[in-house]
Amino acid sequence: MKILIVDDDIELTKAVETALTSYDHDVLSANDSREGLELIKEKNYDLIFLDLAMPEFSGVDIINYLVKKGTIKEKKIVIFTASAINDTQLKNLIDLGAHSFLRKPVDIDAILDKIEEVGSS
Amino acid sequence: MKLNTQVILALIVILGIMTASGVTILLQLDKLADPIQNQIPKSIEDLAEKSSKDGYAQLIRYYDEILTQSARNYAFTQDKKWEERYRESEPKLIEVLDKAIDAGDDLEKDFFSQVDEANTALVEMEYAALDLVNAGKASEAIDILESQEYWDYKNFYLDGLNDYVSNRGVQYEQAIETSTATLDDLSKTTQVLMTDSRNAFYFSIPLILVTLLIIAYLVHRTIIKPIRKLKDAANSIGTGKFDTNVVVGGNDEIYDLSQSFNEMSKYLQKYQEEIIRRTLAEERSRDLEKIEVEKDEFVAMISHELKSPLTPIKIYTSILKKQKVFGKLNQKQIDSVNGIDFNTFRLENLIDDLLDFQRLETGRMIFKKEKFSVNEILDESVKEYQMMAEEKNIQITSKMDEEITIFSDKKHIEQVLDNLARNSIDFVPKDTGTIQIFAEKKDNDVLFTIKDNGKGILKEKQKKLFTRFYQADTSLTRKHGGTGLGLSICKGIVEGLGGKIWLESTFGKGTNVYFTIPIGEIQ
Repeated sequence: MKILIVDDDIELTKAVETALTSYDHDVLSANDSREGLELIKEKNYDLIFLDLAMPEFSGVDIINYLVKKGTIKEKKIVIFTASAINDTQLKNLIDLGAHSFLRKPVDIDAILDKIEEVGSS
Repeated sequence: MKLNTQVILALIVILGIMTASGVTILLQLDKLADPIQNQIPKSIEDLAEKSSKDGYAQLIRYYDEILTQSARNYAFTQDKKWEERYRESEPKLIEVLDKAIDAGDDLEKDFFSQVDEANTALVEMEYAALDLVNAGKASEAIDILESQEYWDYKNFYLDGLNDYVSNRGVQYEQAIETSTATLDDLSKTTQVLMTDSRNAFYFSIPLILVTLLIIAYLVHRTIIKPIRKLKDAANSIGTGKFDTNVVVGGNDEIYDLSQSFNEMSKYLQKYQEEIIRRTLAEERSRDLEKIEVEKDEFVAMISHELKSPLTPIKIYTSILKKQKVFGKLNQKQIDSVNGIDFNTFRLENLIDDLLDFQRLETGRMIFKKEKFSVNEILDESVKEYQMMAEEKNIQITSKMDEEITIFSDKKHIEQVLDNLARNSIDFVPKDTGTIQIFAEKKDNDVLFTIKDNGKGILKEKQKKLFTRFYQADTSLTRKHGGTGLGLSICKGIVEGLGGKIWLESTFGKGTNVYFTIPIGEIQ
């Protein structure tokens, strides 16, 4: 699958890349929101892991942008977040059109399950 | 002495001095009264009297001359008018003589009696002469009037008058002398009076001046000086030296004032100390609050930051453990990866505890209430620990006599149960350990009980157990990854949901941990 991961934690994107390429996925990563948005605009992916808390502008801003563009549903956004955000906020984002969320820290199984879930939807 | 007493005393002294000088002057003035009222009028009267007597002597001489001349003229001229004049004047002389005898003193009476006697003789002779003239014997009449006897009487008469006049002169002189003396006396007395008054005045002025000086000195010593001291002290207090004390002697109002002043400075000092103390306390508490806020922010930030590396670690270890992706691992590699995995789990728990604790401390813990079955969560938690129980070969069971549904925060109640159950699993002995979990309705609450047959907790440690960072057995921390926050987090959650948590334990026999959760409103 063609997967994009947008997260300002380079170690995290590196680990996800390393793991998922071993499972034959096509993984691209962006370590800041600007680059992430460019990549999202440029191409289509089967799944996008999107971190919320990033400098410059946040994952929420990217979601809002995509909502405006009307492409949020087709982008298959999986919110990849730490515990700093609460359930209500997450629910609001899913109502806006994000696919689902994944709470950090996760192991490879949780990521693989999520990929499978999105792939089958 | 009180100030008003001092003022009254000073006034009395000044008044005394003025009265004394006034009385002295009045007494001197009194000495003038007698000469002016009595002595001078008397000597004037005296003089007047003396001069009236002189008048008598002159009249007597005058009338005597008229009588002598009239008688002689009649004898020589036989002119009737002279006889007439004689007869007119003779009684007048008698009258004047009588008056002079009446008014005169003894000596003067003698003189006038002598004159009167001579006069009577002369008058007799003159009447005889007048009769002779009328009888036409004028020459005989002239003989009588020029007779030795007649002139003897005449001389006798004049001698008497002269004696009188000379005596009068002496007396007159004396009277004038007396008057002069009286006036002299008066003048002298006035002189003395003036001198005395001047002296009294000169004497009283320095006396009043000295008294005023003494009063000024006393005022300076008892009022001005202490007031200056008070002024200086007030200035000193004004600059913030509240320990300023004023020392003033005496027993007057100024002393009272100084005492009140010292009292005031004492209170001010106390008050200042109190303000400083309070300000410091406020500052300290503000600092502490600031530190507390900073600490909370720091804990939140650092927990989040600490969590970030966990995801890559978990991804790497989980993929390594799969073996089919990165290849087969030998036993030592598997053990190492498992070790990394377990310690990652420990670290994750620690960070979660820290975050929970910090949320409870700052009141930022969010409780989400929902309707759920207590029976279900008890069953689930027992199932969850079954693996661990089997590993340790211990019994873990749950028991409920009724269906209980409550409206509360399911996730957090599970967290409490999980925490307590894990604690019990740690403390019960291998092979013989038993853990029982109960839940029952108690009034409006559900009472949860976690009962184990572990080694129990010493009485003195029981109370501290729910305070943060306290651990009954520190060796377990290392073994099981506890932070010492577990029970205090349980307490925070239970109390946050409106319940209570406590324990009963007998050392060597086991521990019962109880907590209650309000059933809540179930629609």
